[in-house]
Amino acid sequence: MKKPISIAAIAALLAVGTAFTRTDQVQNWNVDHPQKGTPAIVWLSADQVKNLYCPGVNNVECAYLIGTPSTIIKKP
Amino acid sequence: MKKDRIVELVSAPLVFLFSYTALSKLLDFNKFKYQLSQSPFIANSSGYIAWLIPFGEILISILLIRKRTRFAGLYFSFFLMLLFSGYLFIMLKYSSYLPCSCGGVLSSMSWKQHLVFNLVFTGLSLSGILIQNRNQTKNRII
Repeated sequence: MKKPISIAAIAALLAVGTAFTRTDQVQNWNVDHPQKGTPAIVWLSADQVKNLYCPGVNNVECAYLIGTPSTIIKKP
Repeated sequence: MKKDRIVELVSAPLVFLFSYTALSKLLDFNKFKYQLSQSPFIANSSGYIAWLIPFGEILISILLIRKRTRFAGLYFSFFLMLLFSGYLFIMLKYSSYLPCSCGGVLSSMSWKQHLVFNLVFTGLSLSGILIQNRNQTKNRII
């Protein structure tokens, strides 16, 4: 009898598929503008926000997703 | 339900987690390496760790998929998750800054959410070990 594929193997296949479906989509971020000290709304991916607006150490709140209070760069 | 089946069900989310995060790290390897180099505790050895973590995760996934090596895989995943949780805890408690070096969607979690997430998976690995242990003890008695 043919051996059925295990659940763990299916999980691995799903993980591969999910990893290749990039999750880095652009979203609406509220960014503290570095020059003026005023918040600015930008439409970028989390990576772009980190690299463009929030480089360096992560000890201050820098940007958060609009609609979802999920801060990407912040020391709790 | 058979104990083996339960252990396999416990292993499946761990396989998904390790495969997904390993691939996410390898697909964005330079970013992952850079983020590790920003970490105050492991900056000096970030080059080795950047390779070690994803390949370790892939190895654990393979161990968890194969029935004969699943028990070892559960032990390794438990210790790796414990290590990650310990690292997160130390970073939260003692680090002056928090660089995120997590793979895929996990990078959008806050550090506290990430710690809870890790602890849940640590508990999952431990429950798999305990179920498997009980199963083996029972088989030995019979």
